Order: sequence, then C-alpha cells, then structure tokens
Amino acid sequence: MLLKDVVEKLDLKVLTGEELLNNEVSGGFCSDLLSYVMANSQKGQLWFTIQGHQNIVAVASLVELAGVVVCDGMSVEEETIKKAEEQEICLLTSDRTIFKLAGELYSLLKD
Amino acid sequence: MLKVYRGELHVHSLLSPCGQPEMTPENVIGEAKEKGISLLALTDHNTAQNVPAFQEAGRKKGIYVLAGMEVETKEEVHVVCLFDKYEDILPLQKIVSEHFSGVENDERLWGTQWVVDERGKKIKKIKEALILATGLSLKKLVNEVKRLGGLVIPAHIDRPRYSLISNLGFIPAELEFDALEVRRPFKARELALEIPEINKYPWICSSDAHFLGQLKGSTLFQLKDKPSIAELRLAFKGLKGRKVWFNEE
Repeated sequence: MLLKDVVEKLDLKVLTGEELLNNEVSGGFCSDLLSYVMANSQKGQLWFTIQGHQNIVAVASLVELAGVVVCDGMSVEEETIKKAEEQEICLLTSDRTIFKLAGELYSLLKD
Repeated sequence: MLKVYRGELHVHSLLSPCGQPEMTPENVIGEAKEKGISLLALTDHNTAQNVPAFQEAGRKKGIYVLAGMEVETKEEVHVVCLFDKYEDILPLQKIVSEHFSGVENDERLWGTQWVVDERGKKIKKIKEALILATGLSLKKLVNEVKRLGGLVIPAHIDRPRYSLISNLGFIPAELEFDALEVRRPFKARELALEIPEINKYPWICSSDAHFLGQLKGSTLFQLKDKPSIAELRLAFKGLKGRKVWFNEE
C-alpha cells in the first residue's frame, strides 16, 4: 500500500516529506526504545512512537523506514522537523494512540 | 582547610557526536576559567578518551578535571559516572566498549567524534556510534561503577527523554545513586511532588554543555583541600563540613 493511502485512511497529519508519499509501506513497527527499533525494524515499515526528539529521524534514516508517526498527540520538536526535512524523512502525527493506529494499519495491510 | 569550588559536572567535548567542534580542551578550560568554575567533569557519551587532554589542559590553568563518562544504559537512561584519574575510569571504559551496539557512527546523522590532545589537535576518530544505547542495564552499570569506586549520578532527571524519570518513571530503591542531576530545579521540584523519592538524594544542577556558551557552574561544593571523588562523596552525604548546594537562576 502507498504511504499516501495510509495517510488518508489513518487520517495522519503530514509534517514533512510530502514528496515521499508515493513510497510503498511494507508494514508497521511499534516501539519507543530507539535501540530496539534500530535493531529490529525493517526498511519500508511505518514506525509508530511517542518519541518526538530528533534522534527518531536518525533511526528512520538508517533503517530507511517509510515514515515515522508521532502518536498520541505527543509534541514534535522543531529540531526534529528540521532534521527530517534535511534527511528527507516523512514525519507524521496523530492524536490517536499507537494501539489504534497500528491496529488499523494491520487491518489495511492484511486485506 | 575547607574551601568552596564552583562545579560543572556534566560537560561534553567534541568527541561526543553532538558536542560542538569548539569544545576543545583549551576552549572549555578557558571558558570555565572566565566563569569562575574551578571543578569540572568531562562526560562524553559512552567514552572517556578525551579525559587525558582535558585533565592536562585543566592542570595548566588550575582547574580540577574529573574523569567522567555519560553512559547510556539499555533502558536509554543517561547516567553520569565520575572518577578521579583517567586510569580509574579505564575499567569502566572497557565494560562500556564491550557493550557497544555494534553500529558505526554516521557523521551525516550524528556528527564527528574526535579524540584530541590538550591543544585540540585531532588524533583519531572513534568508529563506534557513541550516541547509541549500550547493552548495559542500569543495575549492572550502577553496580560496576560502585565496585570500581566511582560516583553514579543519573543525568538530567527533569528532562522528558533519556532520563531515569522519563524512561523508568520511578527511582529503583535497590540502586545506590550518589546524587541526582537536575537541569531546571523548579522542574525537578514538580517531579518530586509525584515521586517523593527524588528528595531522598542530594541534587546537583548541571548544564550538560554541548557548546561553550552553555557552561554555567551552578553547583557549589565545600570541600577540604582539593576536590576528589572521596571529597565529593562526603559533600553528597553532608559530612565533616563538606556540602553541596546550587544557585537558582
């Protein structure tokens, strides 16, 4: 499924990376421990987290994730947005919980 | 004789990927001197390799420099660990290195990691990504540092990330911390309303300086003769006339 379709269906707000919305989303990943995400997530996955600091961009860039969704209405720091623009990472936000968002993505990708 | 030292016990050099290039031994010691700081701890992320250069630069200007390291545990909690001499911190360096993530530093994402001499001349780059969590648990780290005779101070407990409180949400009673580090005392006081255990420990107020302008020296130590880990330990316990306090903004 294309990232833009996921964005529409999950009603995500796009902060950075409009130009990346035609990329394919292969799956989802949930964790707030950056070291765990780095070691276990896979290229093309959409990452759901509550972390909004700039190191999430480094992780997304290294693993080549499809994007990062900062969930639960958690704030995203200015520095993070700047970094995401520099590194061309799609940064998304939602007021909904990781549980709900990941559940919906799971259903979408299963069909 | 008891004497008051202005301390700054959490400072990064240009060896930390996020430490600015201006954080050379001469610059940091020079800035500290100007601000009246007489006791400094160099605490780079997961490494102590710039300690010799900073101790040498400090010696020349009459500033005591402790051998320190800011270790990131597997819980992604930052902990300041302090020793007297470079030789004293080497066993910890060995343990930390054995628990590196295995990921190499990506300068594009994190920045450069330079080991320098006391004049700031670049000697070598560290390959491992120092910014990442080690595989050491908080418990193992605390126990190892204690065994090696160092001081253990959880860093910036009032920060919403990478801190004991943000990542664990409580203070494990079985671990022996020597003090807690706060960045903004009013924030820490707010936290202490919910987590009263925070008040059981002495606090120090550190800048966590990554560039020169951030150096502050808010914490004051009353120590006998010259600073050392043993003297700081007494100050944290408030024994024999030694004490620690800090200036509010």
